[in-house]
Amino acid sequence: MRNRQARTAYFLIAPALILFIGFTAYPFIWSAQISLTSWDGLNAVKKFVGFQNYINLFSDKEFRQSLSVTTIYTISVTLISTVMGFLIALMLQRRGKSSVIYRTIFFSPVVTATVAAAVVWQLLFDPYVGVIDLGLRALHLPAPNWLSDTHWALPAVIIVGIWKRLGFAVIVYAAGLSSLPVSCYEAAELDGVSGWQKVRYLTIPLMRPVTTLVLITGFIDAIQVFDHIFILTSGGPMGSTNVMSLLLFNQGFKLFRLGYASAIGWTLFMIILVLTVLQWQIRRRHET
Amino acid sequence: MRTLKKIALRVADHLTLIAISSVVILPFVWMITTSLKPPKLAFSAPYLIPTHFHWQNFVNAWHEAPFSRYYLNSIVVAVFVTFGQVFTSALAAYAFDRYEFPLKKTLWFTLLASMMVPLPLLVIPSFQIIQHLHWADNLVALIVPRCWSAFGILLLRQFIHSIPRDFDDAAKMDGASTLRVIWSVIMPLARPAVATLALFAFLFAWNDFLWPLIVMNSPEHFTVPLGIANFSGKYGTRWTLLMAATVSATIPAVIAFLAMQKSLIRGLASGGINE
Repeated sequence: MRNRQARTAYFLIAPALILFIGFTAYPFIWSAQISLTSWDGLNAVKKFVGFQNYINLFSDKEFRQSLSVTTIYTISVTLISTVMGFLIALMLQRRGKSSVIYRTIFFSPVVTATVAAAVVWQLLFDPYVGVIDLGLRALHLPAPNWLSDTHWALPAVIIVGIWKRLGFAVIVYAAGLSSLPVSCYEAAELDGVSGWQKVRYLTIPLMRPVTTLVLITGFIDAIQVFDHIFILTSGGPMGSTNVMSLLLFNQGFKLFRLGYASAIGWTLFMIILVLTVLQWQIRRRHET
Repeated sequence: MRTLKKIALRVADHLTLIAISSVVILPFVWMITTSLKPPKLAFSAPYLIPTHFHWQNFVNAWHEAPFSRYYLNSIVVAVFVTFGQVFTSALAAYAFDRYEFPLKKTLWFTLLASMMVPLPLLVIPSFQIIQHLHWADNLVALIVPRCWSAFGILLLRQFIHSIPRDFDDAAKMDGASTLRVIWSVIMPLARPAVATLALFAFLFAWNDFLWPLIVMNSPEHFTVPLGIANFSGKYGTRWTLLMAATVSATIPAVIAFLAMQKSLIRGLASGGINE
């Protein structure tokens, strides 16, 4: 009986399992092996170089710049979109019909193909005809040449990243807020607790699990960013927006340095792994 | 006094919301108006209102690039990926919830852990695999590898767990096979979770860019994002033409998604709370 159960179970998970092994597990392990070689993808012989690719990575100026650009991008987009999402969700609370319209607006970027949105943002950031610089000039503010200025290109792609991500944070927070127990708030109101104190001492602590989710998923999403930066700047100018996925793409598919590109990929994975495990540990400590 | 303060706060809230949402919606508005303007008047006041409707932009954009082809490719890929993910996830989720089998815990943990693997890491070896299979520049390469989802299995398992086993037993008593039970008893009951998964899968496949960029070569196999990227590379700053192309590429999809936003939002929200 047990045996038959196991057979049925394996029969049922087989389709997912085969695809998982063929297109995730196997490539994942294989890429670790590639990262220890100097393979160019064409040669049949894969020369084993040990950890040389990883050693080269950390002495490579381009990679170190990429690491810092990715860090700034990831932290800015995740933090700003999470905080704004929370505040907007608070403002949308108990707003009835109008909140549906707002939510639809905030949600539209989430469902827009990133590549197409990036093309539109390219127009908005244009120094001659773009609406952003037109507006800045009308206000007599300095109008930077966003996408070709080494100081402004990263802020520009961060703005687009936040624009794309904000809707997700708003929706998840709005749902979280609507599931909070009303009784807590009524009790607090009877005690004469002010609006801001309610947020500070009730809402924020109660929303901690939602905040963790929004931060972690946002983080894993942002650290792999590729689409809109590829369109807007291709990593330039002077590598000022050259995030790790772009570096990996250029090394792997333009220069055919597959070993080196795989080492970048594995570094990316190690960062995600360390942060995820760290977050588990923190959560576990909170629970006990 | 208190009510006055409350009213002031509400007004402030509303103004802030209007300000932020105007910024969020600005790219859409700008895209649509630019696409409707004649090239020579595109960047003169009044900026937001086209004074002459220049539908020719759309005619030109569709003439320069086969958007209907891109749409068709994207729809084919997204539909197959969606069905594939729902199918494989439903079977696996049912097995993980209802059966005991060797290595179950290890497999479950491995599947969940795989969600941490960044996609850019996988593209290098995956491309090699696709070449070995002779699937390069073929829509199959965009479909088959995407027909499973750890998130989908997780989501459906949570939902199936809440369906009492009595339903399975009753159907089995009537002589239904396991597949029959999943298909005609479990799936209809799990409809909200299935709808969420389907929307996510569709959205993901529809937006996917890096993978198609690597495996596809010929324009007749381009999906919408690839087509747009290619178009923008070709027609750089012919903005009215370019915006007509992006409107064609985005607006129908955005409207379709917004029409379904209730279940999409419900899904996002439930994912958030169950965590």
